[in-house]
Amino acid sequence: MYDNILLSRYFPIKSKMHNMDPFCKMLCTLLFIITLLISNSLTVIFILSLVTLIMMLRSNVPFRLYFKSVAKTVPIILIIIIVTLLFNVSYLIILAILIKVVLIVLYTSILTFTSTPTEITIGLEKIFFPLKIIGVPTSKLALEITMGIRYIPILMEQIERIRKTQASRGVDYENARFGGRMFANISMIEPMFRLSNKRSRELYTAMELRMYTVYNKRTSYRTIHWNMKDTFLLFLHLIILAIFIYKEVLGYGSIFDNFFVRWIWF
Amino acid sequence: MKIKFEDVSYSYLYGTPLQKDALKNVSTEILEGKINGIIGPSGSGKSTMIELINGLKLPTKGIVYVGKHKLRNNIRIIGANKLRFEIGIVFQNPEEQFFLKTVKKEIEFGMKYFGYKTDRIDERVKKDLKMVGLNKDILYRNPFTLSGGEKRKVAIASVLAFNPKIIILDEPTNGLDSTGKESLVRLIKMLKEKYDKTVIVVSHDVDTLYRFVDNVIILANGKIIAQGNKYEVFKRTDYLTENGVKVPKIVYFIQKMEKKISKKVKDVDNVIDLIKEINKYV
Repeated sequence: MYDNILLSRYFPIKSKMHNMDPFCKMLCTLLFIITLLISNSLTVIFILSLVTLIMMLRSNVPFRLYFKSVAKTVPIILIIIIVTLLFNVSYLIILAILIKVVLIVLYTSILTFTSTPTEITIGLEKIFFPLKIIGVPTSKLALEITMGIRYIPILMEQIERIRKTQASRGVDYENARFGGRMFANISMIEPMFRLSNKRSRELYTAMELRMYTVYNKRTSYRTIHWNMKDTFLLFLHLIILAIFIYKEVLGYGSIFDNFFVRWIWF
Repeated sequence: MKIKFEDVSYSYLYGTPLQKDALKNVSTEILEGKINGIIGPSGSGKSTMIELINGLKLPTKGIVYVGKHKLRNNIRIIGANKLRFEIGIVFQNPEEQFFLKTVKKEIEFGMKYFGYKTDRIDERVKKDLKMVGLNKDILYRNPFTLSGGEKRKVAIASVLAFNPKIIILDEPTNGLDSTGKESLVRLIKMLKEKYDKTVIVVSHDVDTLYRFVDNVIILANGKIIAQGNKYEVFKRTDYLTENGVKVPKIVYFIQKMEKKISKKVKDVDNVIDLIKEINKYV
C-alpha cells in the first residue's frame, strides 16, 4: 500500500537548479506567485511562462514528471472552468486563469524537484528571519519541521509492518470490496499511537544522550552558499515585478500589450 | 499446496528515479512437505520473495502460483483470505509486529478472523503455548514487556494458532541464544515430521539453517545463483563465497577432512553425526 509512495518529490540528479540556494528559490517562488496572481497583463504572463520554461530546462528533470504534476491538478482546472462559465466570464480571462494555475504548479514543482525537504526547511528558517526580531524562535521551528519530516517515513514503515501482520492473519481490507482502504487506515490508528509514542520516547533519549539541546547555536554539515546565479535569478524576478508595476500600477503598458494581444490572439 | 515462481521480478518505487530492483527474473519451485531454506546476503531479496508468496506484494513482472491462486501485477487477489489462511508468516522483528495489548489477544487474532469457534480458540491457544514451550501465566502479559526469545515464540504461536499448511519464518534465529536456537530447530523439525507442513525459512545464519533444511534456494543481488539439495549446493564453496554467500563451517571441516584422509566422507549436517563419522577413521 505505501510501498510505492515517494515521500518527497526530490529528483536526485545534478543540475544548475539543484545547486542553487534554497532560500533564493523560495524567495523567487514567492515573488513569482505574487506577480502572477495580481497581474492581469498578458505580457507579464508571457514573460513569466518563458522564465518557467527556461528554469524547467535548466533543472534537467524529465518533462514527463512536470506533466504528471500538472495532470494531478485537472480536477481543480475543471472546477475553475465550471465556476467561471456559470458566472459568464469571457473566454480570454478563463484562459488567463488556467494558464496562471498551470504556471504556479509548474514553478512550485521546480522548487520541490530540485530541493530536498531539509533544504526547504533551511530556506524556511531564513525566510522566517524577520520574525526573529519579534522574538519568534525560528531555528527551533525549523528543527521541529525537520524532525517531523524525518519522522514520516519511520511511521509509514511502522504502518506497513502492522498492515502486513494484520493481512497475513486474516484482516485484509485492501482486497475487500467496499471502502477497504478507509477501514484499513482506521484499524491502524490505535496501535500506531502506542507505537509512535514509544518510538518518540526512544528518539528523545537518544538525542538527550548525545547532549542535544535546542538552545545552543547549531552549525550544519552541508552549508549552502549564495552564488552569483542566485543574485541573477532574484534580480530577474524583481525586474519582472518592476515591469508589472510599470505597466499596470503606473499605467504605461499599452504599447507592449497591444502588440502581444494582436500577435497571440488574432 | 504448490508454490511456483515463473519469471518473477519485483521493483520498489517502480517507474520513478529511485527504482530499486529487488528480484530479477526469478524462476523456482518450493518443495511440498519439506523444509525449504532461502539463503542470501542482506539486501538480496529474500524478504521480498516471501511477501510475494503471501500476496502482500504483487510482482511487477511474471506470475507466482500458490495452489489455485495466480498472483500477477495489478490484479486484485480474489479470495485473499483463503490464500492467507493457508500460509502463515512470521516476520523479522517480532517486536514490531505486535499491536495488541495482551499475548492472548495476539495469539487469538488470526483465529478470530479466520472463523474459528470461540470454545475451540481457548483450546488451541493452550495447545500452541505447549508446542512452542511457553508457560500459561504469560497469556495476560503485555507482549512488549517480554524478553526477546519469548517474543519470538509468541510470534510463532500466533501464526501456528490458525493451523496453516505452509509456514514461513523470516530470520527466525535473530536475537536468539544457543538454547533458543536449539528449541527452534526442534520445533521446525517437529512441524515437518509430526504435522506434515511445508516450512520456508529465510535466514543468513547458514550454520543453524544447514542443520534442518532439505532444499535450498540461494539468492544474490536479486537473482537465484543456486538451488537444490543442500549437500550438493554447498559443495561449491568457492562459487558461493565469490557471490558473497556464507558457507556453513561444517562443510569446510568435511572438505578438509576429505583432503587429509583422501576418502569420501558421508554427508552430515550436525556435529553429533560428524563426530560419529570422525570416529570411524580415527
